[in-house]
Amino acid sequence: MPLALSFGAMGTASGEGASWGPGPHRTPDVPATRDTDPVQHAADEAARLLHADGAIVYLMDPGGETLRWAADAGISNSPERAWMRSMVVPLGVGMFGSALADRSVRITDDYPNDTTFQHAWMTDQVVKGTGIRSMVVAPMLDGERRLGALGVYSTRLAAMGEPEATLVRALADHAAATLVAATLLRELTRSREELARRADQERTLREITGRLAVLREPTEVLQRIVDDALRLLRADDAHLTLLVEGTDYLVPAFLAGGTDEATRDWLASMRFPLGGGINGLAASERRVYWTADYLADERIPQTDEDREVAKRMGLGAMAAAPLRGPQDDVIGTLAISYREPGDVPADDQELLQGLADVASIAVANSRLWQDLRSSEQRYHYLLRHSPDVAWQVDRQGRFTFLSDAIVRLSGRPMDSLMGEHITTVVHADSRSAPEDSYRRISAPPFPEQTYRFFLSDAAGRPVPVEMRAVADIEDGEYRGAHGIIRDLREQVRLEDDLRRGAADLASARERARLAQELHDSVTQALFSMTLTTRSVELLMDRDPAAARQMLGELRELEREALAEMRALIFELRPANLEQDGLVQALRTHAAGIQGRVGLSVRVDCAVADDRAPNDVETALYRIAQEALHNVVKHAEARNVAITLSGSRDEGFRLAIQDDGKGFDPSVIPAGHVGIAGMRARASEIGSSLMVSSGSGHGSKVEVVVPPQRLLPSEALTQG
Amino acid sequence: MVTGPSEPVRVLVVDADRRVRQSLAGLIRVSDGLTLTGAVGDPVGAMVALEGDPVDVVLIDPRLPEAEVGVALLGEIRARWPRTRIVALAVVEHLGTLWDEPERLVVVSPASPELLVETLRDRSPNGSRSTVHPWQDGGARPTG
Repeated sequence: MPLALSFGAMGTASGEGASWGPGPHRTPDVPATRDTDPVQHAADEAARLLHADGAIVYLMDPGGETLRWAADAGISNSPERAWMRSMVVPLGVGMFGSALADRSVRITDDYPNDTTFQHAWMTDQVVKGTGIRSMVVAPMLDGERRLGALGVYSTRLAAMGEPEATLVRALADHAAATLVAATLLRELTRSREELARRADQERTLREITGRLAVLREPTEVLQRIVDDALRLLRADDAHLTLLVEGTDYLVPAFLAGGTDEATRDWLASMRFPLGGGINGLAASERRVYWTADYLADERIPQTDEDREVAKRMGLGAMAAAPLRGPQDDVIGTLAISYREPGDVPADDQELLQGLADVASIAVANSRLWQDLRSSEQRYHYLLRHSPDVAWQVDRQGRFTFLSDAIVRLSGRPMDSLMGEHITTVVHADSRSAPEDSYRRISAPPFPEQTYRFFLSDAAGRPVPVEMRAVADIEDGEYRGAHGIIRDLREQVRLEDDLRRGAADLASARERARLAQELHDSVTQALFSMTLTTRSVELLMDRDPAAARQMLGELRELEREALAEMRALIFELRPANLEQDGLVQALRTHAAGIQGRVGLSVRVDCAVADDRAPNDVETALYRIAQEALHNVVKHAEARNVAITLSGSRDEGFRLAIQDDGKGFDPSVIPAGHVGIAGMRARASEIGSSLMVSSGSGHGSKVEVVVPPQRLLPSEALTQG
Repeated sequence: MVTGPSEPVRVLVVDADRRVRQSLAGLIRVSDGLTLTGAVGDPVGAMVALEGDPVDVVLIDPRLPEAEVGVALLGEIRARWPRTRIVALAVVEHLGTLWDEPERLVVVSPASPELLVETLRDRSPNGSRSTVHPWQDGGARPTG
């Protein structure tokens, strides 16, 4: 069976993986090699007490399969000693391997020629080179556990006997006990340290978390987290990067560690792309990413800049944890680095992620605070600058909140309104709507209310407003209400303007139509007279009788022209309405049209007292005029009936109906503003206008004047 | 029937204004070389008259009362009685945009009855292609 001998110096002799030694970064104060002090002491004592030429101690590797040199005494500096110190001896091989395998003391009188144990070429070479002949080896045991073996040798043959064996065994037992005690002590110390460290970590995390609750500004917390990461993880440098919103790169925002000022400034100007460098990898893979040696790690994509950072900071081992945002997004990273290469154990990675999580909360909190703050500011700005009054009342209807707009709207100081009942702002003349609405909103099902009323300003003047109110309900009970009050002054003004504009437009159209009618009737009359005069000229010599007859026609034309002129002048000056009355004015107008275009226009009046206030008569006249104009222009009608009906008590009704081709009232071609003008006229006198028609069924325009508009005008101004 | 060169020119008057219609009819009746076949006030009347008795000239004020109605009537006459001349009175400004064959349209000023009669008598293809309506400047009436 080939012997698995190897030299420990070939890469594993540093104690890596040994249970006695912690990692290089975490515990730089603890020696990196195995604790050999009691072992060396055992070797020295054994050599001295036995007056031996030398003593050697081998200790078991943690795997329990091989032995490794631990101490020697009495061996002069030689190639053999170097060999011996670097050898890895399998259990069961050589004197040491055999004694430990058997858990018994072994004595040999002549090592090179002793066939009772298994030899190995390398151990034999060392034995030969050192001149070892006789040897006693005693196992170092901790109960069943093999710790190692202590051997004492002589260059003489058969120099070791039972007494030596007993002594070596005693020394080996003592060394084993000391070793166990030292190990236990060290473990105790380490576990105390570990406990303290854990406690420190926990306290730190608790403190940071505690601060999170009270701090709105994350800067302090984040710097603290970076400082704590550096301290708790015994790192040389630490930094926290944040993802710049809307980009795909991280910028270092907080730094801690031994880096000099210039390097810090320079680092702060760096940009780490997502997916590149260790920060980028941790961010893009959303997990802790670590490396034993940054520059040598091929997994990490590195730009020239990354390498420059690494060299300048003297990066060895490094780890980075993502800062995970509330929407499972990554908002940055927390990274630690060491000047030396080495592992970053799982515990440390976990702690780093824990700190990163706290940092995420700090950043997310801060953003939420910022959002909240700006939302509050926005809310306050809107509330302050809104033209609407925001208000709230308690269960009794007393103001508990009013926005500043109430001062502008009512002209009353704010403190004169707070705590007052909502009805104190209502104008005395419009109490009913707010009171009704208040009754409704305060009883189930607490319906939302929208209504208009007049607010009373500081001088007691009415201000038109619109109120929207929503009940505040708790556990099904009415607790008060809130809503807005909107100033309608501008809207009322605009509506008035609009009405006036429509009326102006209607007047302008009337004027244009009159100009056209003047042109049509008078020019056509003059043209007819010119033609007839020429006919008279032609007939005068040829047929004087016919010429005379034609002169009669000429006179008739002149009469008609004069009548039309009068009618048109009357239309231009509707003040004559006042004198003649609406019905007579309509008859005159109808006669003019009848004469001019041959359309039969009948005017019926079924009202005993047909006089109405001036503005009503004028509006009705203009509407009839426009309606007739439309009939002449579009209807191809033969007959039109204008009817005034109703009474003072029930209101007047004016209808203009024709027997023409009709039209679809919902499809009025663009540019035809006639109906809009009539509506504007009707609206001016508080009346409604209806147009009904259908293809082939003629058309009808109706205006209904409410009775209150038929009262004398001075009575109206009170409303 | 349509007359030959030596016979009086047969004229149909189409005008919505009763007085103008009657005055035009009167003048044509007493003018030499013209025969009045009818005087109508609307497009339907014009079509009925033409179908019953084709003419040499239609004297028309296209505002019936809308110019668009007159133009539609003119198109119909042109299509069905291509040899009939059309003499238009008081042409509105945008008639040109509605009427795509200006050479077939003779526009005459109503200011001069003599010129009007002369135009009606003229059998040459372009007739007396006058003129400007004396009231047309600023007098073109709105139609909408």
